Amino acid sequence: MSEKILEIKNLSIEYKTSSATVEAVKNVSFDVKKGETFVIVGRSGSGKSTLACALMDLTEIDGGKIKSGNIFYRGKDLLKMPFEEKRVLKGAKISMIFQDPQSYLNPVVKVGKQISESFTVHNPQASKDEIKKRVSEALKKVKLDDTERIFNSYPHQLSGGQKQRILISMAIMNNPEILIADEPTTGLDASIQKQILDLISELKNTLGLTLIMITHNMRIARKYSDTMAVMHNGEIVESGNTEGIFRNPKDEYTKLLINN
Amino acid sequence: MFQYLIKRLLYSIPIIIGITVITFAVMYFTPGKPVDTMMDFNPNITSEAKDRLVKLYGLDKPVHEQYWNWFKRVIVLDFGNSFKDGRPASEKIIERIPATILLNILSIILMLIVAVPVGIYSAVRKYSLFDRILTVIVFICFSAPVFWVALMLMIVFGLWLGWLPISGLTSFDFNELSFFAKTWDLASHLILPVIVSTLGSFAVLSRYIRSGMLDVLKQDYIKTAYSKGLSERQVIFNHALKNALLPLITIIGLSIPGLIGGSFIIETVFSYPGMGRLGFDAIMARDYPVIMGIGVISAFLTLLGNIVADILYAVADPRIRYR
Amino acid sequence: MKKIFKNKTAFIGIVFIAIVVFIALFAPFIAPYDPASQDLSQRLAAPSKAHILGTDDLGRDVFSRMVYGARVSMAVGFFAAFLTVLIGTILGMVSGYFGGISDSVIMRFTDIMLCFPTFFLILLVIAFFEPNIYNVMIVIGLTSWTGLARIVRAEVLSIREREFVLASKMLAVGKLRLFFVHILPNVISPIIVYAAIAVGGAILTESGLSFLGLGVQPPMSSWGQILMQGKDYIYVAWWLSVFPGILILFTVLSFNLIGEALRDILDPKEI
Repeated sequence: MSEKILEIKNLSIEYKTSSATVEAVKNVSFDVKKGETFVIVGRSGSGKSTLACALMDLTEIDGGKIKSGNIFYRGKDLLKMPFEEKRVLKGAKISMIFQDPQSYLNPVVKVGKQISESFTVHNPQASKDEIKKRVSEALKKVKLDDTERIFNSYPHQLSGGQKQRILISMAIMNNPEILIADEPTTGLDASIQKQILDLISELKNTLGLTLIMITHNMRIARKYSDTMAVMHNGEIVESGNTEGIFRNPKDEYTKLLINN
Repeated sequence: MFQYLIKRLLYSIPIIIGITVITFAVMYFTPGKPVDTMMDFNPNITSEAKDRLVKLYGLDKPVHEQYWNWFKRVIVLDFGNSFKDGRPASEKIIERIPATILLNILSIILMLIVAVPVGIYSAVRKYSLFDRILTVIVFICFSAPVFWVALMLMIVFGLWLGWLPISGLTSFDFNELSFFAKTWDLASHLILPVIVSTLGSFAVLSRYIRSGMLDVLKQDYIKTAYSKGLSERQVIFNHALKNALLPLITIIGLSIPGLIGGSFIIETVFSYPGMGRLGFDAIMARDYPVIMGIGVISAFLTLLGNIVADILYAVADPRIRYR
Repeated sequence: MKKIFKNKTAFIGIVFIAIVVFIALFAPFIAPYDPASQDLSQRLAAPSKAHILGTDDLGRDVFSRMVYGARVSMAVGFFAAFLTVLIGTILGMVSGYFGGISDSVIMRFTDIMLCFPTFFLILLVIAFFEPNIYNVMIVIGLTSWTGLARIVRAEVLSIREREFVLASKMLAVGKLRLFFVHILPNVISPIIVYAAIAVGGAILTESGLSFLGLGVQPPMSSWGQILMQGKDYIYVAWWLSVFPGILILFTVLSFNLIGEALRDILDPKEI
């Protein structure tokens, strides 16, 4: 339980817009231990999503730039790795699910192809039967039935809950060690939100995942996390054992969040 | 899908009526009425004969009645007989259409072959040297007068190098040539006109593709694709390309009037026997039936092109196909 | 406004156009010869010290004719673009702001206009009316507004929904005032960009018309017209075809570069 799987050291990320440079993440450091649920809380614009994207090497695609710092995964710095080496980890050892499932599925590619791609990209030699087996296993894990129809559908033909389950199935396809969930319930109905959160936490236990969850919701943070970090204006203002923070918040901003 | 089709077709009815109204209005309000022009062709017509002509064409009737009579004939593609040689205008136009369509389809194909890879590449390597050079070329293509580019190419390839013929569609001895010689003869006559008519639209299209691709690359599902561990190549070919190229169908549809408009000048420069040159000659001779015919037919062709583009789009985009 | 001078390519464009405008304004002082004076002993003379860009088939000095041609290009370009912007802006605003029937009527009309090859319409009207510089300007202006009308309509539609307009509606500000104070300033950027490009487009169209003999008529001279003569003497007098074409290219290019720079400056979202 105490092995550090992820160490973030002095990470700073900036975004350039036409008028100004914004430092979205400022000198952030924290550790994630293997098997725990680590929650990052903060309001929108606090830099928590930017931080999550950096763990997945998505910063540059987003138009941002990592200014300084390190992200150690099992002692190796992800930021110094060549693209090909990182590519093998992404979706296999570390994977991510996003907020708003609608926009994170390709609207013009069949869902089946998008799901099986998660497997084939890391197993290019896999046979058809093998692919089929793995994909249906993954769909079973996220409790999707009617798989035949879903497989041949396009994203717009499915419900929000189904789409988020599909994104989750893609993320757990290769039995990753770390799962990053960035506001996984945004854009979903209230009743579905709980189902998705319970599913994620169940998968965490059955698959032995390390879960990093991003949320703005303090109740979710308290209910699901072991450790938490509070972000405000790009900085981590307080971090540590979740129950400890809730019982005895030290930072003024944390107090404000808890009392709301 | 079916409903969409019906809606699309119903929507084009007012457009068809609008096209005929505008064509009719242009003719109606121009000084020098058709009958006067006819008299220019044949100065021996007496004023009595002129009155008869006026009656024949119904020019003494009120405007809306004139329009209605004309409209009824236009619907069956009867534009009257050419003032020049008395042949039906529609016949004269229809025999020229294949050459114009050939020219334009070849231009569209060449435009796609060049513009798609170029646009995609300069989006993926945004602000690279290639992208910058390309931007300059695109701006030059977009700013150059087509007929001047035609002249320059004629000077270089036709006169200095002597590689390509500079006018017409076939050589004088075309009928005596073997099959392969015929094919080459046709092709060599087409090369310059096709290149010239492609230039301007290539510039616009590659810009569209570039900005479309840049837009797609910022989408969320691209992040999903990268986070699955796909390589840049796989992300572009499996996820970005289809999204970026879908709007192309509509853009090609919209570029049809530009291409047809361009053929008036290009066909004239290259003495190419298509509808554009016929139209230009008819305008110079004030051959009303042919002019009106070309106006209506090219607008119809454009409308048809747009409808086909919309249907193709609906077939290609699953968001419309399965609604 | 300062930013546009910092943009290198746009700056070159501005300088080039300033020169052309200067030449157009002071043509009589710059042209070494009367553009219409014929010298049949000097027919189709190649570029030389006496005639730096050669002479045409009637022995007229090509350089002088190009200098006077700048007047035509600039006049047609600016006036036609002005007309284009005027019509496109008004129709787009009315359509976007008032919506309803006026919107459908205007947009259907735009769709119909978009079906016609614009150049054919222009040819037709010019051929039937007298081909002269005024008709050329007016017809180009009357047929080139469709794109702008659509852009302005879309902008107005999005602005109309924005809060500050909603707020001013509630405060019962007059419609006219709302239009000029809240909407016009916000759609002005795409209009300016469109205007710069429209000037270039109009110059191209005019040169095409003159090239076909349907533009400005002799003895007045225009760049396209010199090219028309060039086509007939393409075998013997290359200078007739080369120089005016380059001048048209650079002038139109300048306007397009300015338009692009303005787009960058005024609308940083676009790439």
